[in-house]
Amino acid sequence: MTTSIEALREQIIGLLPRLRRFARALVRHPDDADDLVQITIERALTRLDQWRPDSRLESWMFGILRNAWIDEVRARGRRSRVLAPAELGENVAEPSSASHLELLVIENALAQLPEDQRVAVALVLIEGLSYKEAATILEVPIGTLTSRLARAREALALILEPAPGVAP
Amino acid sequence: MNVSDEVLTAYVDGELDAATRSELEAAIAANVALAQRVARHRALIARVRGAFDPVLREPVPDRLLAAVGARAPAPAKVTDINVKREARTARERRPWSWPQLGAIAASLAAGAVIGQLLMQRPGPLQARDGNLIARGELAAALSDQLVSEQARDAPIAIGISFRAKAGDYCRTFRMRARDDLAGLACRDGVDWRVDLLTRIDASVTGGMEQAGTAMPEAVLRTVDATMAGEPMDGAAEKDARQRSWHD
Repeated sequence: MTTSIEALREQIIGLLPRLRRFARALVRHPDDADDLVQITIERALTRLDQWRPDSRLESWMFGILRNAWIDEVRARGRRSRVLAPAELGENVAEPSSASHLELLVIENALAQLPEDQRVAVALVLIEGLSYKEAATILEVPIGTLTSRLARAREALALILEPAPGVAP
Repeated sequence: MNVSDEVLTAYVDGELDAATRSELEAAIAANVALAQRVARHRALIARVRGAFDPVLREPVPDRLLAAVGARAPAPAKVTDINVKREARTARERRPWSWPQLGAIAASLAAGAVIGQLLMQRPGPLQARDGNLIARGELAAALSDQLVSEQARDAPIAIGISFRAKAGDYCRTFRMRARDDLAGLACRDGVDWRVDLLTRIDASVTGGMEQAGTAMPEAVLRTVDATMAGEPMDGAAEKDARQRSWHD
């Protein structure tokens, strides 16, 4: 292929904001999320020969990040330390604005989902990937992806929507 | 028309083919319950996705740029700025691929009202490509009404006008005659795209009712997350109106 390494580096730089967002949806502490992005960049650069230019670079890198996250979770022998409910709110800066507070609320809700549902939400609802792309990244059939999404939506609605009659 | 949740979520996720989509949109326009369900799904996506918007706008840490190692380390400072600027412009240039995430009903009650409004012909709202577009009196008020000059009892009251971080003009509004809905609309070409609509709960606004332009929490939160800088003053509004809310 004519795609030069330099051009790929430029493309990766363009993807960094979204890779950071994806990581933040999986891991709530910003530094841990950036660690995940850094691991992703390093892995991607050593495996550039494995990227097939017929697939989107972003899909490929989201896949690497997701696998790095799974490795990380497994290496810790339990659900990621940074996601342990007891530590919710720790190491997190004071909310500085309403939008920051809202991010904490949503991160908290996502942290309550099983890992497979959380990744599905991050890829489809937050990153806007198609079902097909997301299913490919997760190496599952589309039906599996959509049922994970359905369960995740149900759970999130329960967590986020106050019951009728309850004041906001 | 009996529509499964699977089909509805595929619709809001932009996964339906064009034919099924327009068939479903017709059904939504004719069925309040269906419109409510769509609005709820949309509101959830918008909320989850919207919460992460600030992350996209954060500067990318130097260590990540360094990990990509796009440049030789010689003139460190300047290189960093350039790399950052490239990252920023690359981000701004990229066409947004999110499947037509449009109108948001901030509550179930608002979803029900939106459903009814969509059925009115002519009404203040129209669904198009997954977005809600202001029509009629609402569109007219958004385009023409100045906060400084509007009548106290105007059927539609504009709250504030501001520039969004994306650069477009946005205005908050209240529709008194319409179950007292409040919302946020942003200029989208020649249209006003309604990004948020919520019902004002009189018991919550309480004494602020008289103020006329008091905005519910959901609207304020969205404004806070969207606005670049300060709300526009009277002169800036007038100026923007003269340019039809374009640059």
